[in-house]
Amino acid sequence: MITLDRDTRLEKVCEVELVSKAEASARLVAASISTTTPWLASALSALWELRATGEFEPGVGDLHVSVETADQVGRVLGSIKLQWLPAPDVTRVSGGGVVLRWSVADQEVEIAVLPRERVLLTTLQAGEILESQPLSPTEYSKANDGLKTLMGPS
Amino acid sequence: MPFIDDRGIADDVVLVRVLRYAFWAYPKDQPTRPSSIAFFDSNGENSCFIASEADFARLAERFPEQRYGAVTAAAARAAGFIVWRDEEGADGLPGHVIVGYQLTEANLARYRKAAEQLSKTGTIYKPPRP
Repeated sequence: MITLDRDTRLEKVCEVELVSKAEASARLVAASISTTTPWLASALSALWELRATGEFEPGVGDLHVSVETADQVGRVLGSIKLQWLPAPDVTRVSGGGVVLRWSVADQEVEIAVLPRERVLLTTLQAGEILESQPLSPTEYSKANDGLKTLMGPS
Repeated sequence: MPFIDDRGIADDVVLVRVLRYAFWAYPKDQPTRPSSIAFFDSNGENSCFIASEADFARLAERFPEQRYGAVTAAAARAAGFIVWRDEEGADGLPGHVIVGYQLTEANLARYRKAAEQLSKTGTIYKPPRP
């Protein structure tokens, strides 16, 4: 048995990359998502980027995406059960909202997630709104119907 | 915010919106107009500037390399928006106005359509050279 003195032990501890249980778990989930649902990995990555940037800009508006809104976007994304989708465009609107948009040819499905639990599902064709409906938290799965139509018959 | 239409801002007044992100212009690659989400502020309060009063040199300093989308006050009103001055909201930049849409619990979808209608009347604005 090798016994290390106190200073050496500390040195060894400092060399180890500290990863919390939650962080390790998140990394494992991310690695899993990136292979099973690549669109989701892409969307979450873009969402993370939005969360990390953006602030109030006088003359433009509030570009900060709150934790609550980002969580809401996560819940919307989590309600989508389709494995193979194009990666959505993830962008922000002023006032702290996030817009997800999936496009195939001239068809688009857009989900706007705005602060205070407001979610709007919109389908578009050639840039024209076909239908737009608000979704309550129990209705997020309705996005699957629009996205199935977008992807066409399997 | 007052949500009272300022009729002192005439219908033919040109209002510009800083297109802060690529997706705020349409089409994204070679934009010809603002996109609908440029006028879809989460609170219904879209920050704009009266083109004839704006200081584009200072705007360019604050928002380098940004495009501007332009609509008229008449087009905003026709789409269901109202316009009012908000000089404090732009941290000293002149000509700041809000192109506002009074949001309720029930009209989010109508607001989305109004934003689309307004954006389709828009153009990409080229500020006068200093």
